[in-house]
Parts: sequence; structure tokens; C-alpha cells
Amino acid sequence: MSLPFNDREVERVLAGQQPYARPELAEVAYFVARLRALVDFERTPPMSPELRAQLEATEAAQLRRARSRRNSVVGSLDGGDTAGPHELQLVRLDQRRDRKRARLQRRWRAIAAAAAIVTLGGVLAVGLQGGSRTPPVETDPGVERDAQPTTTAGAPPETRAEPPAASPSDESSRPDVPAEPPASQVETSTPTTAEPVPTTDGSPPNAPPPGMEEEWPPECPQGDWLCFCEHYAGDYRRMCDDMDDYPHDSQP
Amino acid sequence: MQLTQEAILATAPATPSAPPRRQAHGLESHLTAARDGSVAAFERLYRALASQVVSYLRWHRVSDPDGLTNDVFAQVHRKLRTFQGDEQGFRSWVFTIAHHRMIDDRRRAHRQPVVDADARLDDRRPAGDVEDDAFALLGFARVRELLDVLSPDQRAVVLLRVVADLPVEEVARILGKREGAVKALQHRAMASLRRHLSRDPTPA
Repeated sequence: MSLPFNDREVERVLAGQQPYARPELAEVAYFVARLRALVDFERTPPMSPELRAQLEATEAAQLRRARSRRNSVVGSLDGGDTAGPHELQLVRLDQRRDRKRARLQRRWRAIAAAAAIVTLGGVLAVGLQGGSRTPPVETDPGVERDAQPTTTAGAPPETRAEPPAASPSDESSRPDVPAEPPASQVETSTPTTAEPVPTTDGSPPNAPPPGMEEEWPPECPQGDWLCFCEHYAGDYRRMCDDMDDYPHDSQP
Repeated sequence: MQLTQEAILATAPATPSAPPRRQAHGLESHLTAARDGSVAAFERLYRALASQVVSYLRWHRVSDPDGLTNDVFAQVHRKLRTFQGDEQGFRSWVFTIAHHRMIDDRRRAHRQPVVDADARLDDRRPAGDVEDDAFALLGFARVRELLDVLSPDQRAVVLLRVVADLPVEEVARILGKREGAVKALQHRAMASLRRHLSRDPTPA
């Protein structure tokens, strides 16, 4: 059976147009054009409640996803509980690591400060002790006495004239120190006449007395690095850097 | 016969005056946005294609064209993320779903009493010019009468070519036939219409 039309004529009819020199297809073309017109007249059906609910559910899911994304970003910034479990865990790990780092920094700073204080204190103590101790040998006691104000941080000379060695507490606190009451009293009461008294055995004036070698240089009773003990004119005196508190013989 | 054709040509123009056809072109951006989950873009796709889908289903005399159209677009919305293709492919995909829904409805109609969609004919007409509405109603009845002349396959081919504006290859893919078979079907549909109109020259 041969088809009465070719493809081009059929396409033209389906477009709603009459093919050239084919008047017998005019009514068919008119039918197709009418069908197209009716389709164009067709209204859009309203969305059913089911389809509307489906779209709204999709929209709600989108909003939830967007909100969760935003909350996860905000939560990662401030570590809020609204972040996701994994992100919240990461945030907490970061916070814990930061806190640990800050704690270590504070600890190292404290250690460094303590070390600096101890070092400074040691340096000061060594400087004071080294500066206050004159060479014990070959030194004239009178010259040493006159040089005391410069080594004891500006102590007035007349304050040194007081008899600190006459304190009984000093003797009680240092029982092993040999007491020589007559000589010390005379010399301390008259400091201007305190001439270096050479020892009977011919040793230097600041040399430790016999039996006192182990305590030379004598340590201060409390180990206070601001004070030092000095063998002066056959007696021990406690010299302190802070001259306002001088003498400290009353202290144990 | 010749006189009848001349009478038809004298009374009916080859291209009747009709409102401009609503084209669904320019839907690429909406299709992309809808695939990404935009509800507004999907609503634009619905407004662009739903009238053609409901018309295709109505000419196939389904029981509930509006309901089936909503079912079609509900399935389109559910499967939109899996769709790959351009606008032409999207149109073809939508009408494939509509065609399958039409077949399901036809199978259901064999088991249940048929409700003629013509009963709601007045509801679906747009409220506009009275003369145009009357002309459309008369044309609707005549076009339906002519479509009933065709076999189901011929009717499907004609409707997919005319209503859905699909090319032969897309129609062949929807119907599961070869392009040659689709061309033969549309040739036979034209011949059947011509024979019927020559016997019954009542103008549409």
C-alpha cells in the first residue's frame, strides 16, 4: 500500500498548514490547527494539595538544610551547641588545645620570672657580699673602719660607735664566741680610740681568732644576705645593709 | 468530492485565528534551578508544561486529567534530581510519564466505571470572550470526534506531535517504536482523517 503523502507534506499538515498543491489536505490541516488552538486554550490545572504539600516539604527541608549549614558555620565560630556533632567535636578539640597552650605559656612565664628573680637575687647577694668584704689580710683596721661607710651603703659613722658587741643577746646567740668583756667594752665605748690591736701571736687584725677558723667568715644568725658579720676589734658585729635597723643584735 | 473540498476551503481557513501558542522555551535556567531544589523554578516549569500535559491526557479521555497531571508532576518533582538532559529532553521525559499514566488510567478504566471528562467541559474552558468560548466548544466536540476516528497508536502519535510539539524521534522513544513506524503511523493517521472528512465534510 503506497502512502498518499510524503514526509514533508505530513510535517506541514501537522504544523497546521496546507501543503502546496494538495487541496485534499486542507481540511486535515484545518483540523490540526484547530487542535493546536484548543491546546492553546487549555488552562493550567491548579496544583493538587498533595503536590503542594510535596513542594512545601521540599522547601521546608531546604530551609532546614540552610539553617543547619548556617548554624554549623556560626557554631564553628563560637562553639555553640547548635553545630553538628562532628563539627562540635572539632570545635571542642580546638578550644581544649588553645586552653592547654595558654596554660603552658602562663606556666613558662611564671618559671622564667622566678628564675629571673632568683638570678637577680643571687647576683645582688654576691655583689653585696663581695663588695662589703674587704681583703682580710694586709688591711689596717683603722682604714677599714674609715672605709666602712662606703661599703655599708652610706651608714653614718657615728652609728658605728655604738657598742653592738656589748649586747648580751648576741653573746647568748653565739655562745661559742669567746667573750672578752674588758677589751671590747673599752674599745666600743671609745670608737675614736679604737686602734687596731695587734694580736699577741702577730696575726693580722681581721684574722680569725684562735679556735674560730671554721666560722670565718662568720655567717649571719638568720642567713640574711643583707647582713654580714664582721670581726672587729676582737668582737663580732652584725652589719646590715639597711642601716635603719642597725644594730640587729637584739634579734636572735 | 472535489466540490466538497472546495467548499471546505471556502468556509474554513487553513490556519484559524488562535491565541499565540504558549511556548515552553527558555526553561533551561528554571530546569537547572529546579534540579537544584528550587520550588519557585519548579512552579514555573509546571505553569509552562502543565497545560499541554492536561490537554494530552484530556484528548486521551482519561478519567481525571487534572489529577493525573498533578500525579505526573509529583513524580517529575520526585525524580527531578536524577534527570539528565536539556529542555527538549525534559519535555520528552514529562510526556513519557504522562503517557505511562494515561496507560495506567486506561487499564484502571477497564475495571471501574468510566467518568467522561466531557462532563467537566464547561469547567475547563477559560472565562473570556463569549464568541471565542463558543467557537472553542464547538471545535472541541468536532476535534474529539475526529480523534476518535484514529487508532490508539495513531492518536498517540498525532497528539504527541501536535500537543506536545515533540519530534519524530522523541515520539518514537516515548512509544517504544522505531522512527519509521512512527512516520508510518502519522501517514496513516492523515489518510484516515482525510477519508473521514471526505465522507463527512462537516467543518470543524
